[in-house]
Amino acid sequence: MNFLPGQILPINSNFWPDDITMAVMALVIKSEGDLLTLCPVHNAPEFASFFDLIIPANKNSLGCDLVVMSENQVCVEKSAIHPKVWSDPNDPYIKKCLVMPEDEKKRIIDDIAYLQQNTTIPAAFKVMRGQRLYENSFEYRWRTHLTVQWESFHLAVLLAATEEKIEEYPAYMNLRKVLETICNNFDSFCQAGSRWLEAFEADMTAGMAPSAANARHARDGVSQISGLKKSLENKISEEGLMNARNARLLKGSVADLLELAFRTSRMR
Amino acid sequence: MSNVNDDSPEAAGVSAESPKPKPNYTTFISTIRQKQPRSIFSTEVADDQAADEFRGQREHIIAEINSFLAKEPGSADQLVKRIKSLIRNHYPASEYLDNPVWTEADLEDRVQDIWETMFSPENTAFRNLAQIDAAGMLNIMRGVIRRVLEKHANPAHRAFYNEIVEQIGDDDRFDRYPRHGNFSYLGLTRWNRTGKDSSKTVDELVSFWKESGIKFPDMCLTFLKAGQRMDLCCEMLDKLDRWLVANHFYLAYKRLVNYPLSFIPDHYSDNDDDDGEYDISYLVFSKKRFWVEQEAQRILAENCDAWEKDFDEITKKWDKTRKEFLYYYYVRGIDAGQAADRVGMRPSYATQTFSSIKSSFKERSIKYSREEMAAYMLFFKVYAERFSPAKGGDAE
Repeated sequence: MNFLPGQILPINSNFWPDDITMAVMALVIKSEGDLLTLCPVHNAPEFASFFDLIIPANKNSLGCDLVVMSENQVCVEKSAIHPKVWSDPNDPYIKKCLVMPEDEKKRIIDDIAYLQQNTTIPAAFKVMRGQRLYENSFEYRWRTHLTVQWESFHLAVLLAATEEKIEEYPAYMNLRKVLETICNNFDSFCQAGSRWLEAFEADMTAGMAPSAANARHARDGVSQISGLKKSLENKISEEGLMNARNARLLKGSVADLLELAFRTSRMR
Repeated sequence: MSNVNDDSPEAAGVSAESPKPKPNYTTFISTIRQKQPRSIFSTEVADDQAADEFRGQREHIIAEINSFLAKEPGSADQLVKRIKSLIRNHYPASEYLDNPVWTEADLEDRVQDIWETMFSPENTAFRNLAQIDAAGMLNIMRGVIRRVLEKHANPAHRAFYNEIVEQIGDDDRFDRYPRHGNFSYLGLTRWNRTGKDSSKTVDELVSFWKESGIKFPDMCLTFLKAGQRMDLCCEMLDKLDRWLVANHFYLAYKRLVNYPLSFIPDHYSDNDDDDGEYDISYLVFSKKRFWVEQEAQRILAENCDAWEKDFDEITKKWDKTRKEFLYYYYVRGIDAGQAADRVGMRPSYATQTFSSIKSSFKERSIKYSREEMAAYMLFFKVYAERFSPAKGGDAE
């Protein structure tokens, strides 16, 4: 099944953290093979920030308010989408998502591009967008929490996808150890984003009850992830595949490294 | 983010213990694949006794909600009863209401709001599309209850949250760990090396700190500046010399300084005349939170060209200092005194500026509806970004 940009689909709740306090769907931004670029969609306009697109219920075929968090795009494997989309496409709600009109999908993608490019008055408000949120506000905190949940979803999907096909990954990536490290420090990696190395070191030096063994374990963890980063960097350079996207992924979060490993393993 | 009102176990009065080790690889994968439903009723409980009592009821409550979701007759009433009980027992009226106790009418109001938010046709449609199962619905309802209660919370509660909880979260000295297991901890860096944690209950902590020789201000009578507040918190942790469950600290602090306040600092005041009509001066004068609705967005989209011209005209006469002050106050959300300090002025500059703006707006004393005001505020927050010092504090 191919998904087109602009399609809004239910996510696979198995990968969503337990403490869900808001229903979230996903908007497809791009589809390339087994990978989908998604951004989160919720239905609470009061939490929309300045770069979130608001699509009111009367202006979309799904019949509910939609808020697209356009800044939170992540690239994940297809298993991020709810399995019912494949197993039961005739479910009335799944069907409603799948038959979204083409022009509506296109309009959403166009509006997102417009919203990101136009940030000054009066152009900024020609599309319906959220407001700038004060850092201490309830809305800001709520949205930040949702962003961390989304990041955790991102990492969990890639982690499970990597684990499932681990035999297909080249040995030089040493992914078994890497996955173990990620699992043991899952929350830290979700919160830290691209600052994973700093976060790891902070955890190591300020652990709750550090012992020599824990510290050594943490150092091993850093070296596992750093090792993956280095080997991917070498491989990409050797193959002449260093481009803007790969360079960005190399500098990104642990989930970005897993995405790069996924892509690199399929380039062989 | 940790929260005095969150639903973490420490909020449920569970005694402090060292954070548990992270799940290993295999258990983690199985955890993310087989999630367990959580109860919407696992919210904060003020003391351990209530928590124990509550834990005993939990299974029963879940069963009731599940039966409601299966549309069994009478379960809606039971759910309403449970929501009311939850609000009454776990959201103190002094913080979430202007009265000292929850009346039946207040509870009805909140339940009505929760009901409408949770089961509005649009929200139901979204949940169906998102394929949310019963367990997910329970969790979402927990969020909705919190959202509705927070929306109507006493400004003093919000002031406490912004002045203490948020600042502690931003201050490295507290080594705040919201993510270790299910606990949120506070403690100074050197305690990392000791690994000692406090098992004192909130009552014991209050007694301990009362006897420890720290001078606690009566926050009903005085207003502490940010630096003093943080010094006080550091001193409290210093005396205890232990890691501490964050929520125990917050609850004890509130009691020791006599929170909630009987007066509200200006910049948190929400109690302006809420007759549904707003003067334009309200725009730069208040930080009242409007829950922006679709109507406001529509008004904004239709009027922003005209408003831009109006505001260019209005702000033409404003000097650079005033613009920068408004940038810090309004766009960055810094409180008025600190914003004045940022532009090199005394705190009284804030009051003078507000008065001056208010009087200059008098000639344009048009009254706006709530939606129009919300749209105006959305607009002005973006407009005022032009006043940023980085942009020369000028509107062009």
